[in-house]
Amino acid sequence: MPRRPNISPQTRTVLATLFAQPQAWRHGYDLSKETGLKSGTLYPLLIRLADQGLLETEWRKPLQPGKPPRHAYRLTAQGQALAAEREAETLAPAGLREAEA
Amino acid sequence: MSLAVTIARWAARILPPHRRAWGEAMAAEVAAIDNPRDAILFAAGCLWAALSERITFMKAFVFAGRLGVGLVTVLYALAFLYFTSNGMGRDNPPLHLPFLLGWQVSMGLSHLAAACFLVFWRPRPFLWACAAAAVPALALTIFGLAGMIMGKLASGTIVISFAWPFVPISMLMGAAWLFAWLEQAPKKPAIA
Repeated sequence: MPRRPNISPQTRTVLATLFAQPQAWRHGYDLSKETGLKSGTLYPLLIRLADQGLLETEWRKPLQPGKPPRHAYRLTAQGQALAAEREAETLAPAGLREAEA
Repeated sequence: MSLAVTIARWAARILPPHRRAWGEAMAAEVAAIDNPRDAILFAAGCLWAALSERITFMKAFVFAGRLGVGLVTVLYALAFLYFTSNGMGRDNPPLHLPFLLGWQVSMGLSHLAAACFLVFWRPRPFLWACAAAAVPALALTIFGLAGMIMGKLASGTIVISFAWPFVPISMLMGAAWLFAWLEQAPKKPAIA
């Protein structure tokens, strides 16, 4: 049986945030504000996720003219599957508790 | 250029070459932040991220290990160079025999070179320095064995009495191999 990857709470938070709007391209600063993670924690996580094929990256032109392009991120299909799996795991115990009550 | 962007540019330069695109991404992100205080805090985090990408725990461990082994080897080498002029203790005054002097100097210099190449990790010169250290070690072993065979040395002398220089050389090469292996080994878990 393949070993399940070990995911830190910070990675879970980033996965959950990106999975909330799976088709939307997100920027580092926005993700940092939304997750509450400092850029020193966020970027190494994004780099690992991209290395593992879980995160798609793209240089995107900003909506406001005259601004330089920004690096944007969203989950790949593989990343979405992992995020969905981890979200289901998080919700499952709560569901079980409700069923027991 | 603002201070925050300057810090982000430093971060981009610090990142390993295969991560430079991420450095550009950080700098572009910092440039897009309107609030100067937020921009500086974000840039400082990027600098921290770049440093942690550059100096991983394993790299620091391997460097400390090489430095430690290198320093011990330097002391060992300096002891040989010291012996050439001061002898090996009160009961062994310096013997100005060309063979002995040459042996001590070659042991000292070859180990000194091996230590330097270990700390600054140059694998090929390190192996050459170890080979150079093995020559006087081999000479001592042959000298001792020849003395035993010709019966000119004390009876009961065992081979290890003469082959002992190979022990530190083997330990040095073993440590170098271990550190090289640790450096090559995968450093990150499946997902951080």
